[in-house]
Amino acid sequence: MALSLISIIFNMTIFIFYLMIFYFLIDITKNLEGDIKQSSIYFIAAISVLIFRRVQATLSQSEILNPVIYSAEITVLAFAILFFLGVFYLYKGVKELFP
Amino acid sequence: MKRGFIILISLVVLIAVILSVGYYKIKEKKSITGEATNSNFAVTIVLSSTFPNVSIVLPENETYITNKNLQLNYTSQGASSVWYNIDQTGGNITLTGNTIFNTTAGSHVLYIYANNTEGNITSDNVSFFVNQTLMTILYDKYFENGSSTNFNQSSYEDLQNLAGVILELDSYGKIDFGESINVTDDFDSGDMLVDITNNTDISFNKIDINSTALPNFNKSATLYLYNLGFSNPRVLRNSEVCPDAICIEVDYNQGTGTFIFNVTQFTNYSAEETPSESPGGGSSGGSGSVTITGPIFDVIPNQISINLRQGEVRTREIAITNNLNRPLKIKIETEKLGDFLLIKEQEFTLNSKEVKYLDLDFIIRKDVVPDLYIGKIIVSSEDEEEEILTVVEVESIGALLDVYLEIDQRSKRVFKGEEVLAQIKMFNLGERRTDVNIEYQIRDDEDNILLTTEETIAIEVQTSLIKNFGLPEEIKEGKYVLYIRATYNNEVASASDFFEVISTRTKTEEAIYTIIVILLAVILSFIIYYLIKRKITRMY
Repeated sequence: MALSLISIIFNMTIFIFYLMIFYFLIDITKNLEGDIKQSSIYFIAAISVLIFRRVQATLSQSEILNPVIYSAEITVLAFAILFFLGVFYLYKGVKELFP
Repeated sequence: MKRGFIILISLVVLIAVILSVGYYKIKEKKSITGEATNSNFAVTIVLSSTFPNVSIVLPENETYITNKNLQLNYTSQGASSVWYNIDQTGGNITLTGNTIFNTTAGSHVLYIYANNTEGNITSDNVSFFVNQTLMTILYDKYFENGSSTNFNQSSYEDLQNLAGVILELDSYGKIDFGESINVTDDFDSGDMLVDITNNTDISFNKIDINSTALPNFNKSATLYLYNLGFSNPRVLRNSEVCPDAICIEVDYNQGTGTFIFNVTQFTNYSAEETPSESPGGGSSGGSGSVTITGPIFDVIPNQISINLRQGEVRTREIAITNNLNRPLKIKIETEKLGDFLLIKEQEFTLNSKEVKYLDLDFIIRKDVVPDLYIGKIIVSSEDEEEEILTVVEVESIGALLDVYLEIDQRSKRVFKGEEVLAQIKMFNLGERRTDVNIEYQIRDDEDNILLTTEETIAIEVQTSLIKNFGLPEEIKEGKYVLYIRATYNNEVASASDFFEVISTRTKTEEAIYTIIVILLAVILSFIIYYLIKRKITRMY
């Protein structure tokens, strides 16, 4: 098994933080409306990509899953797009609130 | 003060004298002049009359419980004739070896004499006492039967702590006690009778000692059951499978039907056919027994790679461990290696938990074609078989090329369709630049060639290559050998290394643990988030 104790600790710490952000975004999305809500949904999608990537990395490192070529690049690209959209809608929403 | 000073000075002077004497002695010893020495000396040889030696071993100066068939054992040196008498009466009896004699109750002195050709006589004597009323040992069933102990030949003192007691009936079995026994006592100390005949039973497939009547015989012993017809017997104790803590099987000879096992205490012992065990696991019996899971024996290493030149002989060692709590018969066979491999011990028995180191002699004759030879060494017991994948590389006797091959650690275990990364180094031990034909082969454990590529490179002194070998998607899981054969001037040098094609690198348990850790992280993150949220809610 290639997954060492240190890599388990790192992976799980990052994973826990991602999940906490995920829960937090879900929580605040309930109270938002309009573009800001839209922005929050994009952020949720972006953090979901990171969570997915982290799970895949953990399973690959522990040699349960075969490594997928360019999977890291694909997930980072997806995250970048979603994060961009999230920031874009956030800017739009803030502008609407404070014209 | 003054006196003490004088004593101290004297001591110093004394030590200095001793040391200087020692120094000069050493110095003298060191001084070898090399001069030849020569001197006359006289040797006087005195021829004196010799006397023979004779001494009595048995009887001893002790008390005997019978007056019949007492043992007379003696040793003699340089004697032409030996004779004895008892109490200097009844005439002399000539001895030609150890014998038995009869006497009467009471105190006696046994005299033994020996003379030599010169007529010199030597003698020895021993006093002993015969007291037939002291006690009686009934053992007529075993008297002069097999290697049974003749108790009457031992003195009463010896019988109180008699070592090596054996009870045997030729046709049925034997009890060989491993500890000394006080034969003079039984459950009834007052009757002065020890009845071995009626309190022991050695019959077909049965050995029984009434340990209540003969508590002193309740000792550890090796039991032999003769003429059994089983193929793989096991020990029964009071008709139940004997636990390993009490019985340890030593050997079973199917040809003679002799079953040997050790016991720690006594009651009724017999044997029965062992029910067949499930493959891959060993069981040492029924109730009260310890079941062993996992392999019943271990073999290390599980693969051997050996590189030899024509005409070379090399020895490798394997270790075989018996994991069972009983002896295990091991058989060693070879597959496709008969021409190269000599195994001196092909069948042997391993005692419980024993480790045996076995030498494998690889012998390559001069006419063997340089190539890679893949075979197997099969180590088997009655229920289990282990294979040692064995690769024998044969190089030309005069090859002036040294080839080194190492598969990258990450490529030691690869998935189907992946690439095997290997580092190759070649050293030209000859004098000039040489064109070398290099053949790369991937072979499976059955010696089938799955991949062959060839190239020619020029080597001045040394060269280093890194090669990738793509594996086909349809390759089967298992062990493979990457073989490199470098040929120049019809001389072959080679190298090889193992790799394994796998379906998954992780065991099921490891996969389960990883998934559990991920799930725990999800739960933990939720709890942490919930706690933080509650704290923030309380604050505002």
